Amino acid sequence: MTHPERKRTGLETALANLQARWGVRIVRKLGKPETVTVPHLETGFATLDRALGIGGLPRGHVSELVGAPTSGAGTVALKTLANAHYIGEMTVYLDLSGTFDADYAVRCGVRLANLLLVRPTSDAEAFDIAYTLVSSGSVGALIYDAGAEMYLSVVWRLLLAPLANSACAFIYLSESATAESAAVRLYIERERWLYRRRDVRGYRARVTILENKFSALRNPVSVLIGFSGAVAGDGV
Amino acid sequence: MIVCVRLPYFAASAARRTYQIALGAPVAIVRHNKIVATCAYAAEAGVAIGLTVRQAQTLLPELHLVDDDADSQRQMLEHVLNALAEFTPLIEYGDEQGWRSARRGRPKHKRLPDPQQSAVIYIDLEHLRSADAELLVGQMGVLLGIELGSVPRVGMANGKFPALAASWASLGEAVTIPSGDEADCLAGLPITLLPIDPETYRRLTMLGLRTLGQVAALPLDALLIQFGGQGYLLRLLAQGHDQRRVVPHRFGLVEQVTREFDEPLTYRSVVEALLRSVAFELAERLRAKTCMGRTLTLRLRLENDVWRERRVTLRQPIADALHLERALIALLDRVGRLNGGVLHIVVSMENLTPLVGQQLDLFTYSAEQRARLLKTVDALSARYDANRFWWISPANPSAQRIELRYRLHGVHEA
Repeated sequence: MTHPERKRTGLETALANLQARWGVRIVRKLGKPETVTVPHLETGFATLDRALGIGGLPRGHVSELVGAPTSGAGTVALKTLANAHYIGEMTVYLDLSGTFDADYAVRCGVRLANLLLVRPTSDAEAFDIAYTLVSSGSVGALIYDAGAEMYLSVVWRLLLAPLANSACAFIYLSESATAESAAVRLYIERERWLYRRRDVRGYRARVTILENKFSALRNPVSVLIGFSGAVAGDGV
Repeated sequence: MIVCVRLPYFAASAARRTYQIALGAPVAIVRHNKIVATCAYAAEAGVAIGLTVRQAQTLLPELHLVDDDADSQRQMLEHVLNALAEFTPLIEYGDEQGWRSARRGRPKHKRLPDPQQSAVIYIDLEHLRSADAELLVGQMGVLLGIELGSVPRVGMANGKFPALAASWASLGEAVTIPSGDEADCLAGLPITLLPIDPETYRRLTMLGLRTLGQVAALPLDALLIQFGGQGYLLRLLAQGHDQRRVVPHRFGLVEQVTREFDEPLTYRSVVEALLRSVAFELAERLRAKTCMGRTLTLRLRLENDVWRERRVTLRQPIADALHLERALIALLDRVGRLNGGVLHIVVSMENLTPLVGQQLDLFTYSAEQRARLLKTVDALSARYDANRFWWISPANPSAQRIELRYRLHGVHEA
């Protein structure tokens, strides 16, 4: 065996040992895209789905979308719901912040027949309802719109076990990062308004992936949200 | 319908069976000169866990002492679970009640000791009618009586915890808690039934809480402040809400396929083709057993008599030939360069589970999912108030004012 061959074999053995010990995703070759199949729901924004590595927001895990009002976080969540409806799933919107807008949801593609709106009066009640719905396995996606509310992080861990046993994509909307156990955390901020002549036709939002347990972190991506009649995704 | 089968004094019953001790004779199990388990007769005579052998013999001179043998107890438990698996694969061994010997290692949290040293088994009878369920449970009781020589205590309810509580009210006949009456039936039972540690028990009793009804009546915020996340679970259980599923027991089975060759195989493509045939055979065997597996091991014996082994635990259990083939080829890649030909291939599949995989939930139809959601919302609206839950329908989509375009209506409205 020649010297370079021996080095390559040694490297391969070391990599195999590392992967056997820490899992196959611990080391990967650059240039070879990672192919991990995780059940997910598409967000409807192709650039964001690509950046997430698995093709969307994962099912059976908490995905946290952090952003101020009008940043685009709600739009990303609603378009994910729309994709769940497209494949016939039932979904729930837990509206703790009291800001759910049915008109905007419809313009995002949400089918109202497949959506249950829940308006709890306290965060403890909201968590209890979310826990029961997730445990029942009757929901394909659940949006927990907490707004500016913060809840005990210790209680969140209780949700992880029933969530892992379900096919529910749990989307937590908040204004500041709170859900400790989030598998995916996105920070969304509005970059600029999009004008046609002097009319606002939409806006460009910048999505930064703060945490992703399924893929390597990538550069922030921009998504375009247009208001022309219906709310559109990329490529307004 | 969840059935809880509680086997009191299980360790002593297993020892009685293993060492063929007469039914009426008192038995105690000893480790390091201390009593670690007793039978019902010995317990009645005052032989308690923690006594020394001499103290126990003073109390009950005819006591049969048996050395602690966790392996034989584990075998007996597997035997019992195997017998119950004839009825349904949805059986789970629950270790909540502090009987320690059937599972390796120490429990994560110290629980309140179970005065009857029970082994607890949960069985999910799914949507079986209650009359049929009672008939089936009767047959199970007869079978367990024959296997163990003791009478199991059986409780039936909609959740695991209410079923466990019902089993404590049983004196031989099965006790059923009707759906919807869980909170009322549990209200008078002691808090010792809850899965709590001695410290939590002490704090609860210091607060004057002695029954499940008292815990259930507390406001959620107060429990969260006192006990954190555990308080939330305790309140749910005390109210009789237990949505935990029965997780099918994994029997210690291994499925193995081997290939041996007279001449070493030097071409990788030939090894890959053989792995394909192995995957096909393994899939056939798993299908015949109606099982899926998670841990796949590939062992190769090379020309120089060296064994190379690679193992993978998959995210989801699999049983079909295509996925098995992919996993085996990936394992072969991880083996790396083969320095010499292959003489022997051994592929084994462990962590076998019955073919009731949870990933089927991913493909549930909307109608079924909707029915399940409606049922859950019914339960939730009974717990809170119906005005928390709304469907939305179009009212006047062309209205100028956005709030007039859609209308909210309650879940119970026509």
